[in-house]
Amino acid sequence: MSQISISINGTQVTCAPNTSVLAFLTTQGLIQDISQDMIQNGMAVAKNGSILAKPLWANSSLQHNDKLDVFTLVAGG
Amino acid sequence: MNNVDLSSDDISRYSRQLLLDDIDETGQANIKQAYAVVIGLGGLGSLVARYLVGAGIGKVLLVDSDTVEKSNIHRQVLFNQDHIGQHKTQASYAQLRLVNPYTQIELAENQANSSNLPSLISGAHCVLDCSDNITTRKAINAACVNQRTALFIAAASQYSWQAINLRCNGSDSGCYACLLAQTTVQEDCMSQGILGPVVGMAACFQATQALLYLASTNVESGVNPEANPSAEPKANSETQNTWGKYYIMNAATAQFQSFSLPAYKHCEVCQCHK
Repeated sequence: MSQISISINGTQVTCAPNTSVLAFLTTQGLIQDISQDMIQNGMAVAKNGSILAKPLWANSSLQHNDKLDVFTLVAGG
Repeated sequence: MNNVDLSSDDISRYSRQLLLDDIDETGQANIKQAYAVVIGLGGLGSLVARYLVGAGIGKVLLVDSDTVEKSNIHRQVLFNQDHIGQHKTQASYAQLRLVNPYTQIELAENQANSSNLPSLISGAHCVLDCSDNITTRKAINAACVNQRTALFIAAASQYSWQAINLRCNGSDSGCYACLLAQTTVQEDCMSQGILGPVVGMAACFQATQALLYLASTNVESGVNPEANPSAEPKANSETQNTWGKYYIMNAATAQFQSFSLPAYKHCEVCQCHK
């Protein structure tokens, strides 16, 4: 399979097999600087319904039909 | 079975919630013995405190160092024009006394931080994080993990609210620090804006979850049920599946999502307590 299908926030897109979550988010334009250590805007990711800690994004590879939900953490009260 | 009796006034005052299977007389007696700490008296905390006191909680500690400002009133329901300039804790006390004279209301005019939180939450059966910034939220989480105190978190911004219930008892679920690993949240209602009812929805969810937890928890005074396995809460039909799930609602679009929050194995807060 040369390309796999991924759902991101309900939209189907394709990418190469075994693309990391971090690389995928960068390709999608959701991360500007892949080298940055700290995500500054409160971005969080759930993969197949389970929140993926940011340090795991680089080593978590995407498989066909994986579902990503990207959202922004808020702190106001 | 809780051995605290309900008075005839209790039966009358709480009659509508006593009809609920997850409250009934046993749950109400548990609520009557319960002690909760509410940190922050803004859009979340002012409503949370109102509902906890209205529901007959035995004791609350209200923690906030701010004074009431005009810009608070659109969403912070305990306060009105007459309260501008007053300490939020004092203004809240005056209002809540009128709601329920039987709840013991204690005040801490402090900014909660990592130094004072261990003593602020000591002995509490649960903590409600109603604060408005990440630094305080991280400190609350760490203190609750350390003392194994149930923690109910909510937050809101613009048209969206988010919430999570954490048991902090060494389960497989993560903690707030797992959620924030290498992530910084740089926003608050001053820069992003907030619609009053949106933060109110978050507060209502938070108060509901805390009350159902306290109703299901048979506590002895001064004993933390999460740190005392013999006082493990009984299964609650309505809330048993809400622990460790991160809830997100966009109140404008009515989109509701929930995600599990697994523990991050390198978390410096919760993993060293297992």
